[in-house]
Amino acid sequence: MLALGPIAFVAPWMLTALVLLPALWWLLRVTPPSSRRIRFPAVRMLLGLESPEETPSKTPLWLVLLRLTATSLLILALAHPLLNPSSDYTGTGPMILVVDDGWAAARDWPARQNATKQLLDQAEHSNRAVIILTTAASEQGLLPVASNTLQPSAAQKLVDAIKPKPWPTNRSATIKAIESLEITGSASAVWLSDGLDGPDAAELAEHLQRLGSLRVLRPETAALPRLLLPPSANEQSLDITVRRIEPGAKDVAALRAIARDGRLLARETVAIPADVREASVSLTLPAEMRNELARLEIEGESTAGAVVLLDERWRRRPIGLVSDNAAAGGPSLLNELYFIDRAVSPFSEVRKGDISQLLDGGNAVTIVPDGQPLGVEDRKRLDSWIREGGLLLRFAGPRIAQRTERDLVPVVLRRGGRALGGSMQWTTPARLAPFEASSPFFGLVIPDDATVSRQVLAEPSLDLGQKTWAKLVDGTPLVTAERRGEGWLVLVHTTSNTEWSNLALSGLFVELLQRIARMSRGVAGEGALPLAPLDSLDGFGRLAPPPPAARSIAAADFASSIVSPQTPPGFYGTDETRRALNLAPDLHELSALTDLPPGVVVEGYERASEMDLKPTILAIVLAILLADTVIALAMRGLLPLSLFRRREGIASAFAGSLVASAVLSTLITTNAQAQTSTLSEQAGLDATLNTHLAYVLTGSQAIDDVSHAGLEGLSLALNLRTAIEAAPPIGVDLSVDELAFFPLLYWPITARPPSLSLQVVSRIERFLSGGGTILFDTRNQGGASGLGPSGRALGDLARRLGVPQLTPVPADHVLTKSFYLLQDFPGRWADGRVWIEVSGENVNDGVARIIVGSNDWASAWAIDQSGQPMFPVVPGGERQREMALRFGVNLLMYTLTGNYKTDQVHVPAILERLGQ
Amino acid sequence: MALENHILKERQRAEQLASTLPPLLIAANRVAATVAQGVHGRPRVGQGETFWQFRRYQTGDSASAIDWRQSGKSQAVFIRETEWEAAQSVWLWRDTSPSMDYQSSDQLQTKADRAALLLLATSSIMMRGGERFTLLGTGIPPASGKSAFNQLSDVVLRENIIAENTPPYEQLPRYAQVILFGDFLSPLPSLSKAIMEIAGHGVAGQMVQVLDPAEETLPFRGRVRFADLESEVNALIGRVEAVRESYMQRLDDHRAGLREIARRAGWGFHVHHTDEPPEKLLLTLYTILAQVVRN
Repeated sequence: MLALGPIAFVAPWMLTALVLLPALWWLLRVTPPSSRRIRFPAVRMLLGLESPEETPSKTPLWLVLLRLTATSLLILALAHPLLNPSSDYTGTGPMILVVDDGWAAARDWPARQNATKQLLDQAEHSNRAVIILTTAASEQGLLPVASNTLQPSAAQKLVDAIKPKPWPTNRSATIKAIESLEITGSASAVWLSDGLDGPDAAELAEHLQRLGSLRVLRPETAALPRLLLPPSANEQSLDITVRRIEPGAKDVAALRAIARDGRLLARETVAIPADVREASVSLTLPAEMRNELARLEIEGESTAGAVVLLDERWRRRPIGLVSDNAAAGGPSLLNELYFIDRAVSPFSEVRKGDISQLLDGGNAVTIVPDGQPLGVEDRKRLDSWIREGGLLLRFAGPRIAQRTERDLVPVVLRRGGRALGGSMQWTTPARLAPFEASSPFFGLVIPDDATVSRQVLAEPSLDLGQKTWAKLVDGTPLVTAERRGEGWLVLVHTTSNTEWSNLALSGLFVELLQRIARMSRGVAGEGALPLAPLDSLDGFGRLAPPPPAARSIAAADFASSIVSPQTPPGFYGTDETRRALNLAPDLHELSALTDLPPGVVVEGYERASEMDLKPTILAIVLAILLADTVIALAMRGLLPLSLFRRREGIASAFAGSLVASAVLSTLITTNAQAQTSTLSEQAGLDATLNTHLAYVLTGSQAIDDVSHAGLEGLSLALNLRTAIEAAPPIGVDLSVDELAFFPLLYWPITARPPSLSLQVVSRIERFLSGGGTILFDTRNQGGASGLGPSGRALGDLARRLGVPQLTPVPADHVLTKSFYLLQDFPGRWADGRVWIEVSGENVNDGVARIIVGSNDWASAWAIDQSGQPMFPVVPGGERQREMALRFGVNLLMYTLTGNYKTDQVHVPAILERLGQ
Repeated sequence: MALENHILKERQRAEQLASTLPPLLIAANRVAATVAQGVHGRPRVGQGETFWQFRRYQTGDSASAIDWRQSGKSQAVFIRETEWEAAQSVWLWRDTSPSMDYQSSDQLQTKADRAALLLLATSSIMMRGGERFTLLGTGIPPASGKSAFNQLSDVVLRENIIAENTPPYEQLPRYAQVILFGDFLSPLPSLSKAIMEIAGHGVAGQMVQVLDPAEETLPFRGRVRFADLESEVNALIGRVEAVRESYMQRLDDHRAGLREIARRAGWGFHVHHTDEPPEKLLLTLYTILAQVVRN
């Protein structure tokens, strides 16, 4: 094989025939063209006439050039040129494939698999054995070992089974495996690297090179994975850092903050400037949402390193209410804990109990009301707990006012307290002064009617001002706080019920408590029990059941444990108290793989596929020869050209034959290329030729994308499981597109319903009367009758469209047995009710035209490019997703086959299955 | 089998001719009508049918010549004298060889068609002039009138089996007229022999050489293989433009030979091209024939 840039020749010796071209030139110039034959009466007059010269010199130059071109192209084609040829592998021994399957390989895993497949194909062509060697420890925790010498087909199966691991590669173990290889002949090794350098990378390359030749496949710098570092939490926001392996051009990463149930909470983009390794963004979330945060990830990057799992350290701030007699409390409105409970429970987890219970359980904030007596032991425990980072919030009241508190108060209190605005006093209840900038309450709006009528007073001291977070208009402190160790001690100088103040009735009270709670430090579930693996990240950054080798981690060792096959990244502990182990913090200084020994061939993964130019060139040659034939005929006057005179005739014949040959060669080459590329265009006509699922374009890109991905997932399931051959889904714009092609229209309802013109309404009515079915999906859990905005929007829509009477799907409806036997129809949510049109037997073949539900089926069906589900289902489990898919299959069967399944024919079989 | 094929072929050919030649006949009549303006009178007494004069009976006159009606009107006996009508016999011939079946362009008639047109037009003129005419080589005695014309046109239009490129020998009376239409591209000696045989008895005649314009100018280019229409002979010319001059020279030489033959026989020689109107040649022929008759 002779390579010239991107073109190589399989049979380069054919090119020597190009030497013959000058001879051909000479021949073409000298050989006379065959004569025309003319019948002529006076031949006798011509007999014996000698023409002094011959005609051939009149063969036009362009015709000679055309023929020479055809000939040289023919020679070129016989030399069998290849565009982007695959490299040839030398050597007599086996081909050794070293596959990096650490976390970094997951980013472009399909490209790697393609590359591997191509390599195996080549091995098969050249009839060579293959040895497969991975570099990361297996999920069973075994160190990498080389496979036996395999046939390429067997190796393909082995390669198909390789999955990227969520832990780093172990190249030193690979080197050991290579050293133990026994190879006859010179092997050709290919290292499908993940592009990361490491302590043993260069050594591994040397070892491989020693076996024969080495080729290293390496991703582009831009295709290297990025790392998401665990955020550092401060009071207001999460600071998230994205790190690149190699500083390169300007890059933008989109971060997704995802709740535990899979909802997207926030999406933030980080721009990484050129030549900088990392960039940060601070994510501000309301407290409620922040508490739900379970996972941060880089959008579109499916590696374990691009996912950060968040556990209680980042989000959970349980608040403990100290109450000895929680069950026996007095009338609730007088209860000191009542208002606190009501104010705190929406945004935080609230626990009640005595002090020892609460402190054992791990609290962020402990609230002690005035009425709660504190023993000496309790005070000691509380004090040490504060110093370890807890936040103790106390409320004043008659008890504190009567006693002299010394230890568990931030300021020295004056005995007795102060009453304002009693019946025997001139003063009126005091209002709150505006919060100072140094106060954590700064920015809160003070309602006019919040007043304080009694309070405990602090003894004046130098640091009283600093310790004061809130005060009354007369300057007396209302909230004081003191930093103790790593924690806070906070005192509110009035009661937590309405006895001394109506503060507890105002909205400000809730906000004050929220601000105070935010000052606290998140706590993680602590305990002596070993933390068992709960859910682990797989190589693609998805949560999955833990691998077999995973084992529990002792609670004390958790902070120092690093990611390994035995301790894969993921959640540990129990469902209530989860600890997250992330991969990114363990990966220290990473750099790209650049330092390779000389003589190693380095290539990228993204390589244009090999293309055989021979058929194309042969087609062109054929076309030129056809054109030449036509031209020759025209020049000899053998074409019926009565309309043209001779000269124009040749010109037009030339033009005509060129056009014809161009068309011909285009046809042939198009045909040749059609074998390698797929058609991307989806003509409108296509909609009539295939069964397309259709969804309504809502105008919201996010919803449309989900609808598309969902129907794509459903189409895949239909193609795999049923006889329905569903083509890619189509989004229809109701205002423009014709609906008549589609059996089913998926219509996600948004809060803002589309404004439907009369034409659109009549088009939808025509669609429905012509046998179409619409699946309305309000996508909000809790039933179509719910009062959510999309429920209202659906109501509006239904009025516009004149939707007939609906009824919940009966238990024996065809929809429950048209393909699978189903009891309910879960989507992403499970408990929404599905409503269906009360259909008459004779209308639309008994198929309901309207189906309404709220289970957000598209999200459950949705798959991404790699075929993985995009959203978790709630409450969860693959079974629910399976059921959602089964509902989709049933629905399609129902719309396409009508009441076929209601036929009595199948009743015995269905009964039998139901009986089981 | 072969016989059936032959008959079929002949019939097809006849039909083909019948379909093309009636217009030829009409054209011939039309051409003749524009040329022949009335009867050419011979103002003297002679044998004829037209009344000329009465004269007194003289001894020696035949009794059958007495016009009794005129004699009964007076005392004398009168003899009816008719005008002398010189019954000129004309033998016509046209070349029927395949070489006549040539046209260089769709716009032109074939030479054979043109020769037949000229022949029929000439005979039509003679029919109107009361001359006697027949086709050379058929053995039909010359006759005059419409029936003779019809008979002749039948023969001309119907049958052309015998291909002759030289006029056949036939015993002709003295002072007969012969008109020959053809391309006369045969070798001069054979032509000379045939014509001298006919002319040897004092027969007067005219030769009309009918040629296609392409035969005059050889308007072809490039490398051409010329195939003869009559034989398998062909000539490969490497570059036609180069031999055009010498071809035209040869044609001129040949024609000079033809003129010499005509001169020796005392005949007239005319050249007609298929791109010329036929009237021109007919007028020439008419004038010559009329002069011959008057003399």
